Amino acid sequence: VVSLPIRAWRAATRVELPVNEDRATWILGRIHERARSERAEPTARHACQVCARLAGADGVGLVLARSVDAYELGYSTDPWADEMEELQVALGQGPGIDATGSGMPVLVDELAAVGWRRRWPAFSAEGLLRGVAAMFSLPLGVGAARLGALDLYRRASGPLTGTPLRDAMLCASIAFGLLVDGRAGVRGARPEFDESLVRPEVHQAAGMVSAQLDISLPDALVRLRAHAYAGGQRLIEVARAVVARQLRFTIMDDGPGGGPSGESTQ
Amino acid sequence: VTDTDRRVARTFVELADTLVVGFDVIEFLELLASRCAELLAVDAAGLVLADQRGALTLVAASDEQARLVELVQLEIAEGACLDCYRSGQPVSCADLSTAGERWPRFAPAALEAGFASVHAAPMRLREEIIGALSLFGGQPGELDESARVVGQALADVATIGILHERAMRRTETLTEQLQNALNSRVLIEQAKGVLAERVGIGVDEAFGEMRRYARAHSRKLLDLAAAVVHGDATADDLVERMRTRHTSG
Repeated sequence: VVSLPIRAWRAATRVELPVNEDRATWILGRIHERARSERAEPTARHACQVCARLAGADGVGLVLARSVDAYELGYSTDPWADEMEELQVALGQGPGIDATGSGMPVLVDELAAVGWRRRWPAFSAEGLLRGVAAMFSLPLGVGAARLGALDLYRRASGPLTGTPLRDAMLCASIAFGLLVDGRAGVRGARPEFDESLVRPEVHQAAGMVSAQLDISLPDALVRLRAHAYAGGQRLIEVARAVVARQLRFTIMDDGPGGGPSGESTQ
Repeated sequence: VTDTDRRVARTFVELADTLVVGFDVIEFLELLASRCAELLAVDAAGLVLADQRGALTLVAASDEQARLVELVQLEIAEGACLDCYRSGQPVSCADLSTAGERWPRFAPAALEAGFASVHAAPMRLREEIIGALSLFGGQPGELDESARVVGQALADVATIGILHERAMRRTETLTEQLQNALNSRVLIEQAKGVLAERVGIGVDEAFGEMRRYARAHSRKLLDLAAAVVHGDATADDLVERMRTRHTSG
């Protein structure tokens, strides 16, 4: 009666093998190695460096959302990528800005293509002038909790697919965890986001805390992570306590500047 | 043509009808899970998808009991949907009370949730397994051959739905598309949390309210979730209605 074009769909699909946990763990190991060689704590900066190597990019940078329409410079692996990131922030346009807004990767095989030039007239002109042939932006975040984007720059045009793309996405996901950890004041701990992000309770709790404190979702994640770290708990445990209404975050109005807040256990 | 055949055909038409502009992948998968339960004479159905790391996430369930049992499986990393995903083969257990050895933790949990049998079909894309469809029965029993075939067809349609959104968004790879479906699920979980807190109800109740409102106002569930998270006027309207209902009820 009904013929859904299953075969056609399948034929049209490029098959890629899924990445397993081991790959993420391996990449995290590389990031830690890199940090150790500098005698530093692993940060999103190290994730960018590893990302550039694994995905064959000539430069990698981060663009961070300060608020809905304001962006700021994150980190870049070199002055070339840094200049491009600065341009995105100054012009308020570019693949990284779009990826942050939509939460979807923006993959630009050929920056010179008409469609992209129409979309970001100033940014693409400046980019082409500086030798950017291809650029790939991956959102840093989950659901509506987005901190910005990780941008890969290449001097050669052509697609980013297969293992390099998946590695870049894993780097972006680890970089997000590291950014949250950095803001939560976590030091010397493995980023927890790899396991926690598949748990619905973590996202439900982030939603609840964002409403309790009237803060953004990323800030709510930071608060949850900081609370877990301070109490020696896992993020999922804290999230469950919030969802079960055993733990509530409250704004304390008597604290010194900037609206500090506390937590209460019920 | 039997009555069942007609219902199966109607379901496929209904699902195909949703593959249009304005398509919402999570709504599609939720509808599919509900129809699975109705058509295949099982009591509940759930869908899990693998993320970029190969970790499974629940994306849709026909009801709360199925959701809980699926989440338990993911939590303890044991059960029919995991075996099915790992092997790429259908997994079937006609009587969970005899499955204590096979699944020492999952079997008792499923029994406690009121399920006596479980069947899982892989979601396949050529050689690749991207997730699994689980069917839970309240009574012990095998799935008959036709239910097996329809179950696998529905699992294939779920895969098509995920790929369809990909075609609509012109994103290029399956990796991106899977991430998008999972991201949509995360957005809904975040919205459930925001709404639960604003109205003072449980997260599951918040989900039910969101679905009801989306249907009544012909809104996409995902758009409504985004509105809730960003706290716009639609969200205020929804919260106001829910508060009124909860204080008067």
